[in-house]
Amino acid sequence: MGYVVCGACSMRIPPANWNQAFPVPCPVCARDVAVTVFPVALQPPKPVFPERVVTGQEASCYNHATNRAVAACDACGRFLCALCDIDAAGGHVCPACFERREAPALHERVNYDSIALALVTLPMLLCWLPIVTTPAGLFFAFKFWSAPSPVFPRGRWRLWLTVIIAVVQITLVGWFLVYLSQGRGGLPRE
Amino acid sequence: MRRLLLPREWGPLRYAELWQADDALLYVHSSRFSDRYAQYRLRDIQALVLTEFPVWNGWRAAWLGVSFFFTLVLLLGPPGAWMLWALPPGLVFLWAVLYLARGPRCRLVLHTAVSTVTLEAVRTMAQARAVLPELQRLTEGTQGRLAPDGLTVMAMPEAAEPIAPAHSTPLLLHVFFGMLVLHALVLAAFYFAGKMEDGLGLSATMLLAEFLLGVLATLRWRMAGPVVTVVSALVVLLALADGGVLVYSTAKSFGGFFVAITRTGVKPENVEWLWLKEQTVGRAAWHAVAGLLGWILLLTSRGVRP
Repeated sequence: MGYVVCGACSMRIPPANWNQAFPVPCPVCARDVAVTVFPVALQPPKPVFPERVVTGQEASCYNHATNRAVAACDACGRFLCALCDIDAAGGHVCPACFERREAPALHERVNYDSIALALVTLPMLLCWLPIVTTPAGLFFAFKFWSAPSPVFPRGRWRLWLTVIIAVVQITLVGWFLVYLSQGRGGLPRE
Repeated sequence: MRRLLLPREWGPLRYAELWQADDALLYVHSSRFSDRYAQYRLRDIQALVLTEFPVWNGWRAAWLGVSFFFTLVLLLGPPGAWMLWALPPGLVFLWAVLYLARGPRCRLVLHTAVSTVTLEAVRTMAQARAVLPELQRLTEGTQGRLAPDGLTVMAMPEAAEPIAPAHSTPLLLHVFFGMLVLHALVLAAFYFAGKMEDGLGLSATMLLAEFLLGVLATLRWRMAGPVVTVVSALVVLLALADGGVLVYSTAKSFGGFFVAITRTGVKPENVEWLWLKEQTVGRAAWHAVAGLLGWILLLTSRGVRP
């Protein structure tokens, strides 16, 4: 590890300020900075020796055709040798994908239940928008009812709430249309 | 097995969490509609950099001052509908107060060989004081500790005792139980002033706020511990029952809610509140008991552990 930087001014914190009992002012911005460096930071990087492809049946690295593949990139799926395999945030990434992501977070999940709930609640601020968004919210709720939960389980209460609100809205709109069709609130009949 | 290291850090459009897995930290950053997970193995963590920011700066002072100014102007302005317009700046002012009450802010940056990430789950120094010793203990338990010379690695004992995290009590719980005590004092003031009917509107508003705060306090059971959580849940139930009594007696006195809102010119002297004295005394009593009990629990437990 070469250096660490201040979280406020991004200037380097000198090694003399590392692992102190109390926070030390940054030499540039004077904000209190506490730097805790762990032993792995001082270890030299381990040399990596990729294995060679022996037979034609073995998968080879995308970047190095003579190296045997040991993993696939979690982002693009390319085969990687030990040399190209970057261990980032608990996953395998190829150098090209790693460069595209400043802070790799490979496990990303869309919360369709939150989207469905937002579709049936937020547009209520505008009177005409729920005509479109309520069926969309109901569609999302049913389509992703059994979608696998992410790393941390989420209850289905959002989906239930979406269905209940959508049904109430559709009932109200239906009732309103019936009311209009009977000529009580709409245009006068001849 | 996973363990939440800190309560969820909420934001208007996002939240963040920091979990401990078996041999890794799990960082969750959510924009409500999508969650991003990143895992950092303890043996890969190279450094943690904590930078402290002062609680006051020009923007925050302006935020507080401007919102307070407009709230005050609209409240003290000409009578009438102007007072209603004090609500938006009043909410902004309240937000500023709650924001500043959380104390100095900070930024915690985690370094590994291939990534540098700001942990959004730690945004205040109080959170940092609670979680940083635990992060150091976990990481040093895996890697060992650097000697003061900065070069030698000292092995840590395998069964190192967990460092007791810094005790901290969530502000929410203090506000919640403080509001109960304040409500009891307000009711007592109206009782002894002989104007119990004037306090019912304020009491209803405070009951609603207590219900919402009680629900939030109950949801923070991880921080609050079982006893305080039970008390919070009990307060929620009592607030519901008490609100029901209030609504019932109001409706009874006015001859029905819908009649009340459509009737114009109801004279206060014609309103006969049901059990007004009993309501006020009972409401003040349970508020005082629950509020003081909650505060005693908070103070005697010397804070709660995340």
